[in-house]
Formats: sequence, C-alpha cells, structure tokens
Amino acid sequence: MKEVSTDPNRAETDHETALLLSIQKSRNQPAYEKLFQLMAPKIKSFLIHQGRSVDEAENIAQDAMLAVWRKAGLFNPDKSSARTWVYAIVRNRMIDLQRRAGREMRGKDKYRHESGVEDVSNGGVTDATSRDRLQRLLAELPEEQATTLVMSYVEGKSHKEIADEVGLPLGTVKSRIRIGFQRLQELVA
Amino acid sequence: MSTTNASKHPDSSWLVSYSAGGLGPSFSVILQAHLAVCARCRCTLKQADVLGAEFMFGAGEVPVGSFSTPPHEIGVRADEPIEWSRDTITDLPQFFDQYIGTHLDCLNWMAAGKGLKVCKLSSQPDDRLWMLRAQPGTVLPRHSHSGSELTLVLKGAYFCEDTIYGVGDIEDATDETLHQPMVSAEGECICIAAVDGPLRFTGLLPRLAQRFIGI
Repeated sequence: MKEVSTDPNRAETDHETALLLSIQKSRNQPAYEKLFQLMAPKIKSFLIHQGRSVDEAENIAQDAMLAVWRKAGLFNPDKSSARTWVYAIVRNRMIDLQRRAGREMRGKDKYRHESGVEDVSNGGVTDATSRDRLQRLLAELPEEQATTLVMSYVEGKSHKEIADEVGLPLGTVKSRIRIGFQRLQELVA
Repeated sequence: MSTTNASKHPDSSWLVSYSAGGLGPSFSVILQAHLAVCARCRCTLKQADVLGAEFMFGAGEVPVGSFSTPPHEIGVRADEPIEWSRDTITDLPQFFDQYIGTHLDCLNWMAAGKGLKVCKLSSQPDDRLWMLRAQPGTVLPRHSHSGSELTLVLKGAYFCEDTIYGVGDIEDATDETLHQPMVSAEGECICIAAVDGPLRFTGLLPRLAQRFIGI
C-alpha cells in the first residue's frame, strides 16, 4: 500500500495543537482568535455540506468554538490532535441538536432545496494542503468505497439513505464503509 | 448494570456514521449507551473521528461572522463531551437518567405476547426506538427486518442462534437477518432497540399483533 506524505498537514495540525495548548495553559486570547480563524470557517463549510442552513452552520461553528475555549483544559494531546478533539465537539453538537429538533431531510439535498447552491466550498477560500491530502487519501480507495465514505461524512447520510440512493443492500453499504474506513485508518495513523 | 466488558459490538460502519452525525436519534442513543460501556468501540470511534476531522478540515472554508473575544468568566466545565475520553459507565440508574430520562416503571408498557412487554419511545418513520422487557425463557417471534436494527441489552441476556448477548452487548441486524431471540432462563431481560423500518414477522399471530402495537 502506498504511503501518503503527512508532512505539510502535520505542520498545520501541530500548529493548531500548540494554539490549543496555549489556550489551555494561559487562557491565551490571541491564540484562541488564531485558532478560531483557522478552524471556524472549515467547520462552517463542513456543516453546510452536511445539509445545515448557512445560519445554523454559523451558529454551530460559533458554539463549538466557544466550547473549545471553555473546555480547553480537558484537551489531552496524548490522546488526539486538536483537529480530532474539535471534530468530536462539533459532532456531539450535531447529535444534541438532532436529538432535540429532529431533521426532516439530510445531506446536500436539503441545502439544494433551501438555497439552490451546489457547493459553497468552490466560492470560499480553500485549504489546499488539507484538501489535497484528503483527495490523496480518497484516491487510495476503490471508487465505491470512497463514494460511501463521502456520502457518510460529507453528506451526513445514514446507511439506509445510501442504500436507497445507490440501490444496494444495507449489508453491502456497511461493508464498503467498513473496508474503506479500515484502509484509511492505516493511512491516517 | 453490573457490567461490563461488552463482547458483541456494532459493525464499525455504525461508528463511522455516528462520527459523521448521520444517524437518527434512536440509533445514536443506542450507540452512545454502548460506547459508555465499551472501551473497544470508543477506540474505534476515535479512529472514525480522526477520519472525520480529515473530511472537516479538508473540504473548504466558508467565512464566518464576527469573532468575539470570549469573556474571562467562562471557564472550563467539568463535563467531558468526548466519548473516547470517558470512563466506562457501569450503573443502570445512571444510564436511564442519561439516555432515557425516566424510570422503567414509569414507561407505558404494552403486552406483546406471552412473557413480553414493549414500550415505544420514539416512532419517526425511519427512526424508531423500542424498549423490550421479557420474562425468563421467553421466546420472541421469528422475524426479519425491512432495514437495520441495533439492539442493546440493558439487563439479563438472550440467545440468537448460537450467540448470547449480555449486558452492554449490541446485536447488529440488517434486512438480511432472520432471527428468533430467546431470553435466558436465569432472569428477565430488558433491551432497547432502534429500527429504521417495521419488523417482518413470519408467523400469523405476531403479524396480527403488529397491527395494534406498531412495532
């Protein structure tokens, strides 16, 4: 299996982790503002891709970053990078909101219905290093595995929604996600 | 929950979807409850979060509104929101407080056959949550599914074919699964199950009962 170079991406993640540790250590507000500028636009973009409205994505991104400030003392760099820790905070915010309000539609379909915009990332500033790394990772997978992972992570679709859309049994969808996940685990480790 | 090292786990594809925020509330609560007692799945979830972070930070950027400096008085809260940083929960009352929000005896139980009571906790068309309470030795009707089913054992144990599911374990069934759970003779069994479509019973009586109960 080919190895994916992680150096440029590693520098980014190390910088983010250093900022978070600075917040943890001394409640460093300039470090927090820098981390906010690095992360919040990406969180917002991700949430919009998942089917949230622009306003909802903005609110969740702001709320998640406030949680980063409040909970920075709980971050443990031995357990994860800052990115993974912040991602888990965003994900838990999504689950909490979903539990409270429910969602009638998921994924890009909802966004298309509401705004007619296909892909906001094309109009925004892109992070070439992280984006290229993600594209290289996905290129390591067979197309069907990459597609199911993108439908899961980027479009926020359930197994059943994916199975209905691609016309395959649930078991096949689950195995594609599982195998793709296992292969990417090895690459991002 | 006098537990536990769960020995039956959901397929890792469930933890990917959980990490991606793509599950309905019923499936999420089953997985959250299992994660609370399963260090192995917390580890898998962390790996799924590592991958999720790759997607989140690799997709692009959309400008956010104004940045406002957080006030100093907002400090660190005691609670820990990250599943893979938690300790294992081993207490059934704590589980009910956290995930069900009420006591077992306060639920609206319906008789669903000999030795079996069920309670509907949530019934969205593609996201249904049921609590099942079965007497020792109860044999549930043989059935398959129109979609996925995740069942978490909260008390006691049951058998399916040659597999036994105990407290904290998850049975992960798909539309290709045909099974007939049988409760252990040693005590009552309480489970919580999430399904994304109606069950398919092979027997006539269960099919008739289904019309009234809606499971």
